Amino acid sequence: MLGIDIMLYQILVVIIAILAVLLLFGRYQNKKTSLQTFLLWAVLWIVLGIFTLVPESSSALANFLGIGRGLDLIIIFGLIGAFYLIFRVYLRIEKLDQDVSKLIRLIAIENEEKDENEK
Amino acid sequence: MVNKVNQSDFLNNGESTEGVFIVVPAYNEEKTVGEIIEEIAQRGYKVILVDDGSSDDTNKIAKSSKEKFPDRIFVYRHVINRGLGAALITGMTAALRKKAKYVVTFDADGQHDINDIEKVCKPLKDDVDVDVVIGARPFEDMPRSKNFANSVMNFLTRVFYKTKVKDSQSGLRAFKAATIPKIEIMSQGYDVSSEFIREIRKNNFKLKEVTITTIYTPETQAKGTNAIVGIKILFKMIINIFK
Repeated sequence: MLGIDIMLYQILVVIIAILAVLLLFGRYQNKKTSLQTFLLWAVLWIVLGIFTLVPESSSALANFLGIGRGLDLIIIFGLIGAFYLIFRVYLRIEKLDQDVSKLIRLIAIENEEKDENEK
Repeated sequence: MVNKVNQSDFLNNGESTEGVFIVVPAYNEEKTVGEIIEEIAQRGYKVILVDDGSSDDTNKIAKSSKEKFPDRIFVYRHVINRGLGAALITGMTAALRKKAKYVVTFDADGQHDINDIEKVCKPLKDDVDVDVVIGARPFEDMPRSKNFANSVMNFLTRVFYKTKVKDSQSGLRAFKAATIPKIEIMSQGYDVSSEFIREIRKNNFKLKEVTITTIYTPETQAKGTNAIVGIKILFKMIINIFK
């Protein structure tokens, strides 16, 4: 009997998931996000929506993977996912940091050599 | 431009300064930078000053020093502060572009003795096999907190990079020009010192350590390896394992 025993949090999560997917789709259409990123996040949000609407589905998957409860599964995967993202962001920032240094180095050397040649 | 300074390429003891470039990274060192680079230039060395985005008058002072020694002092400016490691690489790259034979790194805060430049260069000139020289500060002379921090860093360098050195964090180093293109430095900040050790090992450079004097003043105390910098360096070393 879906619709009768639906809880407030389920409505909220589903609304947020739909908004997130729409936002992502907008960004994808405006070419601000790659197809890869769009699909990854869309799938994540859709899965979260399904888990929210049909909580038993997460339990079924958890049992299949040997994890006790559905909620545990979500939390475990959520944590792993979050750590992975932090690590990737860290590496990306470090790469950007090095790229900025290369640019600054180039500017410093070019400016000095320009000044030297003018003399 | 008239300058009445000694323009020869030889030191008083007859040692040649030809092809020796001194890389001085400076970040907000207006109090010491002018005196240091002028004194180095006076000895006949070429100076590559890298102003690492200083917000004080470091750049202005360096430029006026350059007017006194137009052929010996070269001033580079990072428009954004990028850290010690990035500044050193800029300086070393610039020195190579100016056809340096030997490149010496020298801190701008006044902690090194200019007489030690010759000391770290001599093994490179005298021994064809020596590639890199590090000027080791005697730990007994250090204030206790610095002594501890630097001992820990030596230990970590030994654990992570499997190299035993007397002073892994010293800012006074001398390189043969040919070694520099092979050195790959990833870090931007103070952990660059340990990375040099790693690169020396990785490339099988022959390293020689010479003892140098260190001048400890309140200014030279403020920067360098303290506990927080040490923890940051440790963190970076751990991260680097996973890359």
